[in-house]
Amino acid sequence: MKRTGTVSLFAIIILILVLSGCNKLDKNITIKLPPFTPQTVVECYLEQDSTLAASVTHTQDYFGTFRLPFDQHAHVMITYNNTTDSLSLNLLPDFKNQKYFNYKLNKTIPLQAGTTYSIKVIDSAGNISTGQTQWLPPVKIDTIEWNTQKGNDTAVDMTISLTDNASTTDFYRLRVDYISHYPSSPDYYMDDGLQNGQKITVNTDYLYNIGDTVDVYLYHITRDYYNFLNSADAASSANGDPFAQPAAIKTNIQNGTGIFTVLSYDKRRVIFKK
Amino acid sequence: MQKPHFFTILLLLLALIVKGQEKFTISGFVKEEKSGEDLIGASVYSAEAKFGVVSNAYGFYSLTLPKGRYTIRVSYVGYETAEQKIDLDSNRTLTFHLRPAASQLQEVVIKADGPRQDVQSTQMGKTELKIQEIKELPAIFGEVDILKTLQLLPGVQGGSEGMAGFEVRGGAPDENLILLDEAVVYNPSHLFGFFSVFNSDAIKNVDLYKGGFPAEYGGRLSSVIDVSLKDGNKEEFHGSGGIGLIASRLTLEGPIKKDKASFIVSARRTYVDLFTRLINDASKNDPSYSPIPAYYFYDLNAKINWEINPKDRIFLSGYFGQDVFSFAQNQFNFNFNWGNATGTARWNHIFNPRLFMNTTLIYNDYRYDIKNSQDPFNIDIGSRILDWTAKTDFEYIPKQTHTIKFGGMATYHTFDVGRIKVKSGDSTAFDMDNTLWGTELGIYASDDWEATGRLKVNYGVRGSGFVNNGKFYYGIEPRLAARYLLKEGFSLKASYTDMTQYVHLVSNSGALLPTDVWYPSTPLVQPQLSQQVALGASTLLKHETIEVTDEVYYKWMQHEIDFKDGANLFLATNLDKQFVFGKGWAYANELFVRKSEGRLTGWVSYTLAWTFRQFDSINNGKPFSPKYDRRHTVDIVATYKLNKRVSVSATWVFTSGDAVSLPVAYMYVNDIQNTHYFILPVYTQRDGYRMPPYNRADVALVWKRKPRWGDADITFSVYNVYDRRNPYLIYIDQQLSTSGGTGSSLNLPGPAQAKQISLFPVIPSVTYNFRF
Repeated sequence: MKRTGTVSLFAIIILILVLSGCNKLDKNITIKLPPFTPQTVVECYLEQDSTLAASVTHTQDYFGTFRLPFDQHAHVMITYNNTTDSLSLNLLPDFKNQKYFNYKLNKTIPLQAGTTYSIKVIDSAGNISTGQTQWLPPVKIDTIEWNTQKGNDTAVDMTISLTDNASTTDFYRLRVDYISHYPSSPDYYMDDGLQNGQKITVNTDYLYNIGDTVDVYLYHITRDYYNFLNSADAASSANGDPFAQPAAIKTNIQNGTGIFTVLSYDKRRVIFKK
Repeated sequence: MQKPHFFTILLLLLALIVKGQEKFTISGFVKEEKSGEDLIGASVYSAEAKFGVVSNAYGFYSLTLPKGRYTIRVSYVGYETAEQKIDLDSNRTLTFHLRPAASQLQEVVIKADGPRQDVQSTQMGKTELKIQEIKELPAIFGEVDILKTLQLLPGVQGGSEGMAGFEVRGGAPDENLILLDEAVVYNPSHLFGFFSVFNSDAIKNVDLYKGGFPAEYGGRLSSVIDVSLKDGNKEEFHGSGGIGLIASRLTLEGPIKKDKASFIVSARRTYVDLFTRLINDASKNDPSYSPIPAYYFYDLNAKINWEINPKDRIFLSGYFGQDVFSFAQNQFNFNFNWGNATGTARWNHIFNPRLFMNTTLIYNDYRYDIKNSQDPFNIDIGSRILDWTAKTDFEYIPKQTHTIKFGGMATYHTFDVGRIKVKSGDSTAFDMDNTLWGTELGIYASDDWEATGRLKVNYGVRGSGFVNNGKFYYGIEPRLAARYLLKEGFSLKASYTDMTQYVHLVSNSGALLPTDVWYPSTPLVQPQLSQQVALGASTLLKHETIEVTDEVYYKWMQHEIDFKDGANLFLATNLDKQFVFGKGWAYANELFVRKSEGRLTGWVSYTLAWTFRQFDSINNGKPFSPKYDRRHTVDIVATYKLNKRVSVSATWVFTSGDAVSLPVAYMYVNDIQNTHYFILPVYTQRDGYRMPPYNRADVALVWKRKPRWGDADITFSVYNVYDRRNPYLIYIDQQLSTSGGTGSSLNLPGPAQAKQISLFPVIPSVTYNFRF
């Protein structure tokens, strides 16, 4: 009897184990979030020899129906060197590149170091958002090298180097665009905290194929933009990661959110050869 | 300025206490009969004098009485009471050997204060657990874990489900001082927090202090977990162990020289890696197969004690444990090891029957190492905290109404906050090492004074200091506790404690991860401070078998540390610039009903608590509730002995949901050319959303056997018996498009859906334990 009882107990345990394995450990839930007043989102990049574009949107309820939050009745102004330009409404999204800057300025703006550039947005509800930025000179890419992998002479990894300016605190964004393949790209943000004034070497941690063509962009970015990018990454990562720090978006837009910054870069095209 | 005043008063008081006493002292040790193991917290009582004392952490007691004839009763829960009649006309040395109660099997039952002692003591906020009691409770995967059992006590909140990390009375996880034979254990977890480093086979006693801290403890704000290892059997050689689903244990102990010296060695290892290695080997020819990473942990505890003569004893004890994680595929090779090492050397000396001394040298070391090689780079990352401590503690009992403790300590800390070395081929591409040092000091004195038959007061002070990089911080930490006996078995209590913490854990995970690093107070980082007041009442019911305690506390915390939003803490060189400083406060009522004797034992507790933090740079400067602010917590723990061989136990836990941060809105960002737009979550309020409540029941059955060679038991355990899907985390599932556009529209994401992940379904387990 004792042995039968023990066997039965084990059988019950195994049954429970099997049943438990059949059940899913995740499920959909409904969440009622606290009320939130929408904010104006401003995004504008100043780029050498390019016409200016900006987007004005509003934040949306998280669990609401997703819709395009573009504000088509805003007033957007750029001010520099005592000059103010108003941007006009742009109704045509860039479908190919999946961008929609709904305001544009059909002229280039002179970009000079030491000049302060300001943006002012009066949205359709009359809220005023402002931001400021300054031009930074580009930092040159020193070298781009690649090495074939042991045991696979058609795969290469790439190393990019630059020389940091010791007299300034610098921030960089490094992107690699595949020209010959799919559009997803390595994208890094870094500061010079560990290597101020030194040669900075970055391995892209990607394996490319011999024959691939890539464009390497080294952006010299502002502290505001660096903080925005990192906080954007942190906010995305925190979305479901129980071990991540919840992050508010760091912005240089007053009375709103988003980013107003400069895009100053050096670009190299690379074709990987043996 | 206050410190000299206090010590002057203390010395004057001492002189008054000692003056004119012509009494005699009975002193000695209380031990377990079969093993010679010291019994901590045994009651030594004289009915004629209506006075008693309690044995200390080394089983030593000292009872001073006027000349006369007495019956000395020595009692300890789970043991038969010993009595001895004596004519006290000179100082006497008596060692008592207590026999385990007949209903117990061979398992050593160790219990500290009984319910009566709890009521009569000035101590508040303290709970002691029998190791046997812990072993009979259900355990996840069958692995008995004292830290998870502590989470079933009022005021102790578990971290995430299944984790050994915990928070006490509104304090953060790093505000708990965890001691193993007096050595600090900086990371008490294995397997990223799912198991604790304490092997229950080697443990003798567990004390939890969450308030009313005695003056001998310092350095943390919120709790002290004081774990004592067994000394080893002085009489006979014995072995014990267990075979479980994921780990096995083996302990050997015995006399080196009978009645004089003994040893104990205890080891534990998991073996999941042995199976995963076999699976990997079997599939190594399959090119599509991804190998399973190898993981295991092991612990080794060892202790020797030597009674040199009746007045001198030496203890040497140590712990070494490691977690080992490795993964290799193609040219990628990743190894991650972490673990603690501690060593303690102690010398007990009895100067005279009224003066006991313990001097200790302690070494403790926690480190992690990550080695990652991917051709052509070799990356070596690590961190370490290493301490050397010397301390000495005195216990002086000048007369029966005073127990005076005093002592001092010094710790030299080395904080290897972050080390990273990158090699490319044979050359070093990058090398960084950020090491800091600090010296921590402490002195203390306290007196447990029975002022009248009803009023007992424990008053003391701790002076602490910390030196780092030329900066000296100090703290004066008064400690006060009082008990007023309204009637026999019913007392009112009050306490005030002041604590200072000089080392801080750099962690924003909410869990104790192996890569979290400890950071000292520096010129930029001030020590954390807390003050706690508590009021309570304790009473005994049902022939003193049921103890009811209710405590209310309010706690203030200053210089609390949090981190800037999005702070990068991993290997940052300027960690102290990532910190933000604020304040916190917590208050609660804790009701605890415990039954310690009879067939049915266990406890029921209910905690109603509030915890807040406030930082200028977080949550727009408004107060917020941290994750572990749980309004209601109910714990029910019950063990029922069906007969001498079979006992069943069950636990039930209910807590309010964790406070978590969830986005309230999203924003659209185009990003620059040749990138894809992204949708960002917008967080406004820190920890502003509550997860659903948590509840879970576990059951266990312990079936004791009596084979010819010794004792054995089979423990069946079922975790989460009604298979509740408790929330472990909530995440947002949203199909964000990353592909290119169609040429005529923007490729937009679908609607967001909140999802809840649960960690553990019902988990049955079985463990076989033996002792010979």
